[in-house]
Parts: sequence; structure tokens; C-alpha cells
Amino acid sequence: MTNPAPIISMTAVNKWYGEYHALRDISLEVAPGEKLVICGPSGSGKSTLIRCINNLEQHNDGDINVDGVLLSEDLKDLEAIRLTVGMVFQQFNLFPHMTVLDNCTFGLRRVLGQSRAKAEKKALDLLDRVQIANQAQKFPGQLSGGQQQRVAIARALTMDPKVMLFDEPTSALDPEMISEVLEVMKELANDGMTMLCVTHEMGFAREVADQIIFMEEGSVIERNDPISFFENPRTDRAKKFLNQILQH
Amino acid sequence: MPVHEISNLPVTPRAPAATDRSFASLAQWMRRNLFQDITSTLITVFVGLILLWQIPPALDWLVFSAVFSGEGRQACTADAACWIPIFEYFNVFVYGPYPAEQEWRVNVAFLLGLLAFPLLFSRRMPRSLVLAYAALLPVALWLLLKGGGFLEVMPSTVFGGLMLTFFLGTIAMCLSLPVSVLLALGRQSKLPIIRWICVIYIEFVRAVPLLTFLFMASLMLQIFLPGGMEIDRLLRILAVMIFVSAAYKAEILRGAIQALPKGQFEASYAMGCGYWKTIFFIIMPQALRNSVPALINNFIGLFKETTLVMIVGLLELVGTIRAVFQYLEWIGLDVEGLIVVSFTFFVICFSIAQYGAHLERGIEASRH
Ligand SMILES: Nc1ncnc2c1ncn2[C@@H]1O[C@H](COP(=O)(O)OP(=O)(O)OP(=O)(O)O)[C@@H](O)[C@H]1O
Ligand SMILES: [Mg+2]
Repeated sequence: MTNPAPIISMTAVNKWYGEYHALRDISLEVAPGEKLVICGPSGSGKSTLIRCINNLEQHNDGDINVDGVLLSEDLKDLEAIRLTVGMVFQQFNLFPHMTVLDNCTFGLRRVLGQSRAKAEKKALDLLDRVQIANQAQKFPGQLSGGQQQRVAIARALTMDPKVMLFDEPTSALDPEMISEVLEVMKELANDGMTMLCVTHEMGFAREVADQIIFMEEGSVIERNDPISFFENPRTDRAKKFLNQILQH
Repeated sequence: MPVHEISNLPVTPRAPAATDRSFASLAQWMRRNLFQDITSTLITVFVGLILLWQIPPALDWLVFSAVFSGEGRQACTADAACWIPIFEYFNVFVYGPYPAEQEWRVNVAFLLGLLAFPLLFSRRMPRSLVLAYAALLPVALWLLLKGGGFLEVMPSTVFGGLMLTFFLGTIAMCLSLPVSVLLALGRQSKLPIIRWICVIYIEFVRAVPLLTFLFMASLMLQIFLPGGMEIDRLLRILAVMIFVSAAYKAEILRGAIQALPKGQFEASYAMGCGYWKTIFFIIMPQALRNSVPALINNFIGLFKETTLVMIVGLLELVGTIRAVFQYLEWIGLDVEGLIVVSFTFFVICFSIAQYGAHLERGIEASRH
């Protein structure tokens, strides 16, 4: 059986913040439907890595290819990539001046130019899927953190992305709200979404991930399937990291 | 007594005490706010005495002993207000030297201005309609008052009085805001040339007195322009008011934009939204909301600064009133004139302030 063409491929990507070398020679391929969990110590470049994929950070060197489109200066290509890739942030980043429903119709109406009625129908479907349709008329500030993050996931899904990026989606949540967000992410994974997920939730990683990537100081130092990674990590650094994180 | 027995008790009819109750709550309010302790009681009594001492003579001067009609200066009394010239020159105060048979144009203009208020205060009105109105109002006022199309073109010299104040204030308020948005964005642009132009512009305009620009616009500009070419005087003065006020607003907005979390841009970009749409739908609505108090302050300041144009010879409301009291017959009655001016400005500026408060209430409702 031949492997399907990767939906994301990064080759020799480098990124500097001034003098600081934040990503070192990253090469990475993600197959359609694959679920990657990215972990590693703070400051190792996990956020930078996934933010380079949709160009929220600009890489300095190397190629990033998303669904057949090479990331370049060209605005058309950039828009195409950003439409292919949805993103969920640690701080939710919902638009506080819009209702939940308007948050979810924003992309459909203002980027894709759909009518309000059509956009609202789709937005409500997705809000229903994250079980929050009854809060559609509220403002984000009136919801709990877990509810806000579920809205943020629904908002990203309205654009029918082929890939979802998650940057520590549960790190800003109180413990009792983490699971409601993880549930939604698991469902998404079951539906076959391609996911790149930075998270410290190792239980989630073990259950959902096809592959785990371990980063340190801007490099990917280990890529492994979850069972091997948790039972028998190849690098000492990963071993140490797992010991630290699993103690809690 | 067990609970179930309570419902069996005979109901004692209560006194219909609506007035009693409101009186009681008034007394309570007074106790809490006016007579809580010795200090506040003393202050209350002191202030009350001053008011008792000052208000009756003030009312007497303003209204009861004042002269409202009569023939000329002889009808006035020495120790009360004389409102005769105010009524006599009412039309001059309102319309300035605008030709009488064209005054309907001014009336329509005032009406358009007034119509803005129900639009602005309604919560149902779609925002696009309000924006469109604010964008078209300056154009409408210019065409209406200045002329063009099928309306006779008026020279700038017939602009005066309250109508000129309204004309300058409204147009400057409506147009300085979009200019300031562009300046605020330009000041944070990634392109160094644009950024530097905006920085130099803002810093220069803020550092030079408005009067200087007004003088320059009314006197010097003609010298620089190639021979024969002339820009309407009103237009020049208006441009000064718009572009100077925009520099201040730009700084207010820049602060508000910088205070927004970077994640707001990122969330919008991540959905494939471009820069301008992100600014229009995500960033500016929030930045404008957060700067309502400061912007309203600026609008009120701008409206009052229209009085400065009298220095370059345009007689707006204050200038007109002062000019009337230069007539030998009415000399020395400036106080009455200034009271009318104060009252007029108060009504307008207070309305603007109320609009600000209205906006803030709406914003408060959408929080938490
Ligand atoms: N805008 C920036 N300017 C300069 N340095 C930056 C910037 N953003 C990140 N860095 C640096 O780059 C390195 C990688 O940052 P990144 O946010 O990708 O780490 P991370 O692995 O996501 O860490 P965390 O788990 O804390 O989120 C860090 O050392 C950080 O200090
Ligand atoms: Mg991070």
C-alpha cells in the first residue's frame, strides 16, 4: 500500500526571533487524517512550529506545504492555506463584541461571503455539535472557559478546515472544564479530522494520537507512536520530561 | 406557629400607602445622602443656605424682573436682564447673513442633524445604516448649505451664526473620525514610510496651536497656490478642523488598538480574513468601544473649538452675538448674549455626552 500524499509537509524549516534560533531544521510530514500530539518543555518551540503552518509566525528558511499549496509571500496562497487550516488558541480569542452566533458566522459571511441565513444555519449545526447551541445569543464574556473554548472549536470548524491546529487548548481552563473540551476534540478525531495538537494532557495523547512529537530547543528530537513513547521513550530527555509531567 | 397555619390567618388589610411609602423612601434617601453625620449635615445646610440666598435674585434677574419686549434700549431696566435684542436678532443668531428666502435650506440642514439623534440612540437600527448616515451627512450638509446641483451656490460670506457653528461642528465631527482611524493604523503600519509620515504628521499637528493653522488656512494658503486657483475659504477652515482634530483622535485610537490582545488579530487571520476586514469587523469596533469616553470628550472639545473661527473673521454663534452687542444701541448687554451662547452650547454638548453615556450602557450590557 502506498502512503497517501501528506497534507502538511515541512522541509528544513528554520525560524529565528532576532538572534534566537526558535526552530532548527524542522522536517515533518502529516498524512491526511493523522493525529499528531506535540509535546516538550516550555520554550521548546511547540507554538512556534504550529503557528508557522498558518503563517501567524513567518519562518525564515525552508518550505512549508499545506494541501499542495506552498506557503509564500503570495496572499492568495496564504489565504488558501488559512482556509485549509483551522486553529484553536489557548486563550480562546473569541471576539468579545459579537455574540456566540456572530462569532461563528463571521468567517462564513465576511471571508466566504455567504448570506446570513445560510451561515447561521451552519453555525448552529456546529454549535449543536459542541453542545452549546442554546447559548448562541450570549456574548463570550457570559460563558465559562470550557464553553468558550468549545465555541472557539465550533468557530474554526465553520470554515470546513482539513486540518485543525490546537495550541494548548485546555491550559487556560479550570480542571473541571478540561474534559468537556477534550471530549469535543476526541469526537473530532473520531470523525477523521487531521489534527496537530500541542498539549500537556498525556491521557488524551495516549488515547487519540497516532504519533507523538517531542520537541526540545527548537528541534524535533523524537517522533514515535504513543505506546512506544510512553512505555519506552528513545531519548533520555523525553524520559525525564515524561517523569516530570506524569508525576502530577 | 406551624407553617400551614399561617395561610389560615385573617388577612389584615394594608393601608394604601403609595404616597407614604415614597415619602418615607425620600426621607430615607435624604438621611443617607444629606444628613448622614455632622459633617455632611453641616455641608448640606451650608450649601442649602447659599442656594436660598442666590437662586431667588438670580431668577429675578433672569426672568421675573427681566424685560422681554419693548421698543429699543429705553425699554430695558438697569438691574435686570434685557432679552429684547435676543428676540430682535434671533434670526441673525440662527441663520447669520444667509439670505432669508433660502433659510429653508438651513432648516432642512438642522433637521438632518436632529434626525441623527434618534438614529444614534436606537438600539434596533442596523449599524450599517447609522454608519451610512454619518458618512452621508457631511456631504448632504455641504450640498444643501453651500449649494450645487439645482441649488443656488452660496458664497462663504453668507455663513454665520448658529448655522455656521452647526455646519463646522457636524462636518468636522463626522469626517475627523475616519481620518483618525487611518492615521492610527498608519502609525502602526509595517511599512516604514507610511509609519513615519503618520508619526511626523501627528506630532507636528499636536505641537502647533489650532489658531496658527486657522490663520494659515485663511491667509497664507492663497500665497502658495498657483495664480488664479482658489479653494473655498470655508473648505479650508473645515479641513483644518478635521485634520487637526483627527491627530488627537488618532492617538486615542492607537492606545485602544494597542490595548487589544494580539489574539484578536490572530484569530481573525487564522480564519483567512485579510487585514482590512479584520480591522473593520474585529479591531475597530472594539477599539472604538473602549475609547468612547475619550472620543466623546474629543467631540465635545471639537464642537466648542468651532468658536475659534471668529478669529479669522467667520462669525459663528459667539461671533455673531458679540457683533450684535457692538451696536451702539445694545452695547453693554453682552451678559445676556453670553448666557444664550452658554445655554445653546450646553444643550448640544450635553446631548453629545448623553450619547456617550448611552453607548457605554450598551457596551456594559454585552460584558459578562
Ligand atoms: N515573538 C517572539 N519574540 C521573541 N522570542 C519569542 C517570540 N515568541 C516566542 N519566542 C521565544 O521562542 C521560544 C519558543 O517559543 P514557543 O512559544 O514556541 O514555545 P512553546 O514550546 O510553545 O512554549 P510554551 O509551552 O511555554 O507555550 C521561546 O524561547 C520564546 O521565548
Ligand atoms: Mg506555547
